[in-house]
Amino acid sequence: MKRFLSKVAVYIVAVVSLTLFINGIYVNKRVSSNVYDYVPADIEICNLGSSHAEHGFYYKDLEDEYTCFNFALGAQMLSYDYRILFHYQDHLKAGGVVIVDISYFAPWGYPETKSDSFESKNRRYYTILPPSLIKNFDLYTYMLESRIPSLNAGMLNVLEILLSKKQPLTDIPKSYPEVEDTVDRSTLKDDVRDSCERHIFTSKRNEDGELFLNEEEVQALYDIVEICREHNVTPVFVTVPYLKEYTDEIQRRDEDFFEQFSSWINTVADETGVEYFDYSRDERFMYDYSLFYNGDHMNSAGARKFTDILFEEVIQQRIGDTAER
Amino acid sequence: MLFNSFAYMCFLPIVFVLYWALPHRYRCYLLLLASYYFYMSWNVRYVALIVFTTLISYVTALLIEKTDRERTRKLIAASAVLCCLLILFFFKYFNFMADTFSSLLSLFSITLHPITLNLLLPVGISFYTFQTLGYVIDVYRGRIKAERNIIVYATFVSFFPQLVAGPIERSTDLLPQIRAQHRFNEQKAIDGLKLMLWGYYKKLLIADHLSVYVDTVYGNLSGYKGFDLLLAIFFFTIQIYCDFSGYSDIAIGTAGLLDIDLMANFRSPYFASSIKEFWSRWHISLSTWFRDYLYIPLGGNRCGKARHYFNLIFTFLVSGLWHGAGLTFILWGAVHGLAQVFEIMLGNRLERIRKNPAGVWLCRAAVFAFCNVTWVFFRAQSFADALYVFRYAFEGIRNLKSFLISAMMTKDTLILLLSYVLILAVHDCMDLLQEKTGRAFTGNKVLRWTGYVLLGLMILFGAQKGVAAEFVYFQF
Repeated sequence: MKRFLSKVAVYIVAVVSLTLFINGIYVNKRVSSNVYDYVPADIEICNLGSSHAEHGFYYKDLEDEYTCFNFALGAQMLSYDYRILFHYQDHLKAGGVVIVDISYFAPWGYPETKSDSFESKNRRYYTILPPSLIKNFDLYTYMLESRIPSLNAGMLNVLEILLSKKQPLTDIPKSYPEVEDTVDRSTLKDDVRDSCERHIFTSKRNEDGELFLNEEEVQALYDIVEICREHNVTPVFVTVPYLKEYTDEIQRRDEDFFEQFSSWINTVADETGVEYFDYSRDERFMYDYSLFYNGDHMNSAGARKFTDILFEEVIQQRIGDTAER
Repeated sequence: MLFNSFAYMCFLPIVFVLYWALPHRYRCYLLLLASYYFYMSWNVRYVALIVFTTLISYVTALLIEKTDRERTRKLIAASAVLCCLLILFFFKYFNFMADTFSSLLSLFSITLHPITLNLLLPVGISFYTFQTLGYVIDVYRGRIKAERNIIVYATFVSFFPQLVAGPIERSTDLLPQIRAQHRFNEQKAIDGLKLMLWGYYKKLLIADHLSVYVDTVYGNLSGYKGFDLLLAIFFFTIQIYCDFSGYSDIAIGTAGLLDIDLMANFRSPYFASSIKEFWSRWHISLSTWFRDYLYIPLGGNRCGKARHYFNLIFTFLVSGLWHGAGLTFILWGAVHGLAQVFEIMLGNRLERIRKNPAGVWLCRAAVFAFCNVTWVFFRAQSFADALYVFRYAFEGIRNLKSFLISAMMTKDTLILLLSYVLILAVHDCMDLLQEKTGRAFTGNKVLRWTGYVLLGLMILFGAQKGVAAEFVYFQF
């Protein structure tokens, strides 16, 4: 038995050592495309949020003058907005502005850890956040995603990087996506129906079909405000523009939804003293299909226009409030 | 708990250490506990089914042995067989039968809304049911004495390495091994680990990667034509082999760590030079089960020609039905049965071709092509889907250069996958040569160790992480 166990141990040590060796070369040679590896210092304008914000803010026009960053990620909940802001709080510059996107689905429903898609969605935070800030942290995923990324990269990718020379970093990846597509009107109706179902029905209501608040998400909003205040940064709550079809569908399925949503966000705004700006039914956007790639997500043209408008109407007056530029 | 899951990587070493640390008399309890835990990790409730099947067969076997009257013995054996088959039927075939019956009635303009059951198929039910049936029949035939120790018997039925996807063990082989006192056998344990490593290579590196492609194509057939369909046909042929034989290898290897021998389930099946030979190399534990408990009792080949042909086709029809409750599976079985009848009809002519090496390779190519075609019935959701695949698989082949471009797969990925398959082919070819010549290709120690380490690295870097993909044969 001893001989057997020593042989197994030798084998395991050999495989593990070689794996770590290969991983070392891989990590050293690869050029990361993870925007979170390039979060700048002294951020003056940034936003949090879900895919609505990810596709809602486009900082190209502001980048020459301000340091900007888009922290939003698809299906990101407020509780992760808070965790991200907490982790990167030292990157904020006093006097800056943090835009907190408030999507319609943000405050409602069961904890996201209960949803089927949670695990796959949660994996991305292993490369963004430290273990202490990751929900349902597990060591196996951490090792794969964060410590030995070559194991997760795919054989071809690993071979390609191992066999190539190290490429110098030419362009730092942008934190905001480039989307040129415009709305496909033939599928728009189905798309908005699916989105509404996902955003305000699935897992958002109790057995009687009533919306209920998710305490964790609501609390996260208060915590975000607190971090901003600690760093002398101005938080603003914003709901980004949507197409009319999307808001109409929500109205059709639940007449009281907007009333409940407004009542909740206005209460939070009053209690925290943070201003809320609702662009969701802004006429400059809601009828213009060329600015969206589906019912509730803008394309780059829409995001650029919206960011410029928001800068003029909201950010400009608030930036530099507490510190000199 | 899947063999390719992190949970199993923790479970197996714990069982291994405890098994060898415990005195002999407690090992059986450990194996039973481990096996039930292993099964309950899928669905706690379905363990009741195994317990029920175990108790029924245990008691009836004892009753058969106690009874002297042949008629009563037969009656008891038949009741046990019927009872086990009814459970299998209820969970696996009820909906299929109800739908088929309603479709038949609709041919006569009678509308019937069949009652269907919304039941989850218990994992491995076909495997442990057949193992239990084999035991009862063996006791009835007097080939083995009824097991009196319920713990030993329950371990035989639920032995975790082969519980959910075989090999379907014979009571004459496995029961004595469970009872026996084992001493740690280093060589057997090392061979077990090597086999497991090879099984993981087949499952994680080949089957799981090919399944992504195959599932995408078969999931949306109308979106694909030509080379993509052809690739899906070929890939599924390789996928199902690697998936199932990979599972068997891991199962046999695991059992080897516990000094228990399980029967070989695959022996380079795609190098068979006849359909008959294919079935002596593919899923051997099931083929021999059908041979011993169905084909031979029906009369086998020791009867008239017509009856012989009927026996063959009937056995393969049942084999098709065993694999799945669907017409496509029955058709798949029927085609294999008919092909064997055709081979018998060819008689000496086929043997003459197989006598020279070129002829053998020609036959191998033909059998491989035949397997590719028949797996389409096995994989397709419906007969119409299978026909679609055949109809459009060669569309555009006249312009070979543009035909050979996959819409789904990059050239590099295709080359990588094919190189995995090539390693498999070389391995199987070497196995075949070893089988023919009796000489093992061992190589020197350094070369072997390098090979094992490389294989381990390939699995680590190549396997998909985070998602443990189920084995195809679990659904049977």
